[in-house]
Amino acid sequence: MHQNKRKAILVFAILVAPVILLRLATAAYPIGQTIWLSMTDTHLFESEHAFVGLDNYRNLFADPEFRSILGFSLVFIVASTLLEIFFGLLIASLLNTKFKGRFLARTINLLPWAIPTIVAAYAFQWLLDDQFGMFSHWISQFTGMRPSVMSSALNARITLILVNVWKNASFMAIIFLAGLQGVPQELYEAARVDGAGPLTRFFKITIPMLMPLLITMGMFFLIWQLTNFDLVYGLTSGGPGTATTIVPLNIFHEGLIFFKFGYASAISVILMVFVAVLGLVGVWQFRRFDY
Amino acid sequence: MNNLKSNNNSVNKGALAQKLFMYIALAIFVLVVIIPFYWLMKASVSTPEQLVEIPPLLFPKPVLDNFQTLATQLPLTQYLLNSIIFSGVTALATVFCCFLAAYAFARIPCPGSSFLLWALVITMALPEIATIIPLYRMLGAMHLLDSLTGLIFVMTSVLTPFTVWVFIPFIKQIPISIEEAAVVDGANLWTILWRIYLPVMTPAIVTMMIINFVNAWNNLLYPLTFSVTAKSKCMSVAITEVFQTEVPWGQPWHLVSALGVVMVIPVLVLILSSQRAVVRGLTHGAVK
Amino acid sequence: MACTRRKFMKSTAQATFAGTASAGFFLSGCNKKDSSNKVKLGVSGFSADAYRKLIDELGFTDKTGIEVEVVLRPKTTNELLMQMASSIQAGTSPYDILDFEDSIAMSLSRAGWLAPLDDLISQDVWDDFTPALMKMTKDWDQYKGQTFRIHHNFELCYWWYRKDWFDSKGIAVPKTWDDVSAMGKVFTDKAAGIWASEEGLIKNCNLSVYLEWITRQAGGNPYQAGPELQAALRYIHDLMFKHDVMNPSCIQKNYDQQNNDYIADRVAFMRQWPFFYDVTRQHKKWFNEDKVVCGLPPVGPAGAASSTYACGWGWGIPKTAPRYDQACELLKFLISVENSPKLLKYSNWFLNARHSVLNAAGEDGLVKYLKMYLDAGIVTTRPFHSRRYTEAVSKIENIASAYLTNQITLADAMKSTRKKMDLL
Repeated sequence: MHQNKRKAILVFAILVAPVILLRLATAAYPIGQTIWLSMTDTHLFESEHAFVGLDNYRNLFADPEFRSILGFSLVFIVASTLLEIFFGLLIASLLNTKFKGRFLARTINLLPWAIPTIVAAYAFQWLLDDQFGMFSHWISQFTGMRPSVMSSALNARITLILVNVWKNASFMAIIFLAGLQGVPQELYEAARVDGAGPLTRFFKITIPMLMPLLITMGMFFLIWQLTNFDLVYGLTSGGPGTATTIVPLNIFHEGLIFFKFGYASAISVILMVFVAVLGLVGVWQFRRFDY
Repeated sequence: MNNLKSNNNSVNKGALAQKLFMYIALAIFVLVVIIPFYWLMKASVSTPEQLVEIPPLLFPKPVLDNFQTLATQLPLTQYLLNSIIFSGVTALATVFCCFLAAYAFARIPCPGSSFLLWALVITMALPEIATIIPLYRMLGAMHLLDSLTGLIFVMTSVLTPFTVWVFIPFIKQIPISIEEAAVVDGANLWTILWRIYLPVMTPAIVTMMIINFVNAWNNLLYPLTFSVTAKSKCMSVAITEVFQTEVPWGQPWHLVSALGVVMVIPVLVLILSSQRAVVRGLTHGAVK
Repeated sequence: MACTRRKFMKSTAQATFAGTASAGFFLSGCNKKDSSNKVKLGVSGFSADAYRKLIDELGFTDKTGIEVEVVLRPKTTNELLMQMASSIQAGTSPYDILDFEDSIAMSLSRAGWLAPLDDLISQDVWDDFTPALMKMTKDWDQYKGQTFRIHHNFELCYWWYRKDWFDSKGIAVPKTWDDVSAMGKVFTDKAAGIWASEEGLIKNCNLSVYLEWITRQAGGNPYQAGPELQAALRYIHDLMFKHDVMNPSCIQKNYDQQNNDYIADRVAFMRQWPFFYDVTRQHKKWFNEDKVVCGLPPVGPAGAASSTYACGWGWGIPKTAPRYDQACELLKFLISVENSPKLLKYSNWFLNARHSVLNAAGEDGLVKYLKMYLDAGIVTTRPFHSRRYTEAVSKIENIASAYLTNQITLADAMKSTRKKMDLL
C-alpha cells in the first residue's frame, strides 16, 4: 500500500510536470517581481527607487478614482459572467436540440468569439456611431431621435457589458455544448417517460449535470475578465471620464504608459488577491463535486 | 379512450408550440450574432466613400480593393503562415500537456494536489501586461526573441491553467467504474487514457483545441512585443500596422474590417472541419 | 498496476521528449539568425513608401555604404510605447532610428532611453531652424540640456470650415469665441444629425489635444490647472449643452469618426491636424475646394497671438539601438540643410518650419496655410507638463471627459485637477 502510494505520487508528478514547469518558467518570476515592486516606489523616470512598504496600497485605497474603478470592475465582471452563463446555457441547449441546419447554427454561434476582440470593438464603435451606425439609423427612423449610446456614463457601461456578453456568450456556449453531449441521453428518456416537461428536464437534469462545468466556467470567466481589457480599450478607452475603466486597463496605464511600475504592481497584487480567493472557491467545488 | 385521445392531442400541440418557440429563439439568436458580423463583412467590401454615407448603406456593391490593398501593404502570406504555425502548435501542445495534468488532478489522489491546482489558478491572476517585461528579458536570454518558438512557449504556458480547469470536470463526469473495469481487464494507464478517456472526451478535447487555437490566433500582446520582423509577426499584429495613405492617426476601418474577415476565415474552416471530428469521435466512442 | 504505470511513464516521457525535440528542431530551422546589417528605420505605415523612395533616390546607401531597411512601427502611441519599454529594458531595440510623436518623446526621454544627438547636429542645421521651430525644440526635444529628437515636421492645429455653407447662408466665419457660440442657431439641426462643430474627444490624446488648444486660446496651460483651464472647460461645456454648437456625443469619438462626420456633411467647422487636408482629398467624389477651407481659429479671451499651437514628429535614436553608429549617419543625412528641403517632395509629412524647407516649399496646398498662420503671428508652442506628460494628459482627460458628460460639476473638476496635478 505504502509502495503504491509513492508510485501514485510519482505518476502524478510526471503527469503534471509539463504544465507546472511551463508555469514556473513563465509566471513564477513575474509574480515574485510584481509583489516586490509593489512595495517600492519604482518609476522608470527616476534613477533611484526605494522600499516604501505598503504606501502604494494606502495611496490606492485613498484614491476615490481607484475605488470607483474597482467598483465598476466588480459590477462589470459579475454582471457579464452571469449574463454569459445565462445566455451560454440558453444557446447550448438550443443548439443541442435537433433541427435542420444545426451544423450551420453551431458554426454561426462561434462567429462573435472568432473575431479578434480589437476588431469587434471597432465594429461596435461603428455600429453604435450616432451618424453612421445602423442602430442609431434604425432608432432614428422609428423615433426621430439619434441616440448616442456612448456619451453618458450609464449608457456606456450598459453597452460595454452587453457587447462583452455578445462576444463571450458563444464561448461559454460551446463548452456547455461539449458538456451537454456528455450527459447520457437515457436520463432524458427516463424523465420524458415520467412525464417531465422540457423546463423540468432542464432544471432537474441539465443544470445538475452541468453544475461542475457551470462553476468552473463562471469562475474562469470572472478571473479572465478581471485581467483582460482589449474590449474596453478598443470600444470606450475607459471613458467617458473613468466610467468604463476597469482595473487591468488601469494597470496598463499606470505601468506601461506612465511607467509607474511600483504603483501598477500594487494594483496587480490586489487583483491577484481577488483571483486567489476565487481560486479557493474553485478548488473547493472540485472536491465537492467528486463523483 | 376519449381521454387518451385528447391527451395525445395536447401533447402534439405542446410539441408544436415547443418547436415554434425554439425556432423563434433560434432566429433571434442568429440575428443578434449575424448583424454585427454582417456589418464587418459589409465594411470589408466597401470603399471609404461608401462607409461615410448617411443613411448607412445596407447592401453596397462589393469591391475587393481592400483585400488587395492589404496584400500590398503587408507581407500577409508570411503573417498568415506564422499565425497558423503559432496557433496550431500552441493548441496541440497545450491540449496534450493539459490532458495529462487534468487526469492526474482529477483521478490520482495525491497530497497537495488541491494546493497545486490553486497555485495554477493564481498564476492566471497577473494581467498579461504585467508579465511582458520579465518575459522579454527571459526570451532575450534564451535567444528566443523574434521567433515563433518563443511565442509558442509563452502562449502555451499562458493557456494551460484554463485548459486544465476545463478538463477536470469533464474527466470527473466520466464514471470511474469504466476505468476500474478496464484495470481489472489488465489495461495499463496509457491504454486507459488512450482508449477510454480520449474517445469519450473528444468533444471536450476538440473544443479546447479550437479555443486555444483561437486564443493564440487573436492574441495581440505577445506577438506585438516579442516579434520584430516579418519572420515571426502574426496576423493580429497586422491590425496595428495597416494604414491609410497620408493618415497618421486612427484606424482605416475598411482595411481593419477586411483584415478581420481574413482572420476569421481560417478559424471558421477549422471549426467546420473539427465539427466532423467531434461527431466521428462520438460515434467511435459509442461503438466501443 | 504499478508496473503498467511505470510503462506508461516511460512511454509518456518518450513521447513528450520526442515531441518537444522535433517541434523545437522544426521551429529553430524556421528562424535563421538575421545576419543583415541594415539600419532599421521605424516609421508609421502611411509614410513608409515616402521613406523608401527618398532613401533610395537621395542616394544614402551610395554615399555611405550603409543599407537601410524601413520597418513599420505600430501606429498607436500606446502600442509603440509597450514595444519600446520592454525591448529597451532588455537592452535592445527593434528600431535603430525611429520616427515618433510628442507623447513618445516625453516618455522615452524622461526615462533616459534616447541617445543625445547634439554631436550630430552641425551649426548650419541649427541656423536653419526658424524661431518657432527652435522654441518647439526647446520644450519637446531637449531635456537636461541635451537634444534627444529632431523634428521633421511642424504641424499646427488648423481650423477648417465649410466655405460653401457659410457662403450660401451669407454669413461671416466666426472670429471669436462669442461668434462661435452663436453658430449653433445657424447650423445645428439635431434631428438631421447636423452640428455647427464637432471634435474627436475620446481619451488617449484626442481630448487632450483639443483641451490644450482651447486652453491656449484662453491664455494658459491646462496642466497648470489655472483659471484658463476653467474658462476652457466652461466654454466647451457651453458649446455642447447651452449653445448647441458642438455634438455632445463626440466625447467618445476619435479622429476617424470626426473626419467622417465632416465629410458626410454633418459639420460646419472644426479643429484638425494637417493630415485632414490629405484625407478630404482622398474622397474624390465629395471633394471640392470650397468644402474644406482653412481659416484662422476663432480668437479666445487671450487674444489672437495664442490662437493655436505647433507640434510635430521627429527622429530619435534609442541608446540601445543595435546599429547605433549607422543610425547616427542616417540621422545626419536626413537633417542636413541640403536634404531636408528635398524630403518635402516625397510627402507633406516633412513640411517643416526650417528656412531651407519653407524657401523651397512654394505657395501651394498646405504650405499656404502654414505660412498664413505663421505670418498672422498666432502660433505658440504646445502646452506641456515637463516631468510627467503622459500621466498629466491622462488625468486631465479623465476629469474633463467626466465633466463634459455631466458626471461631475465644474467646481469638482477643477478641484480634483488641482489635486491630481499637485501629486505629479
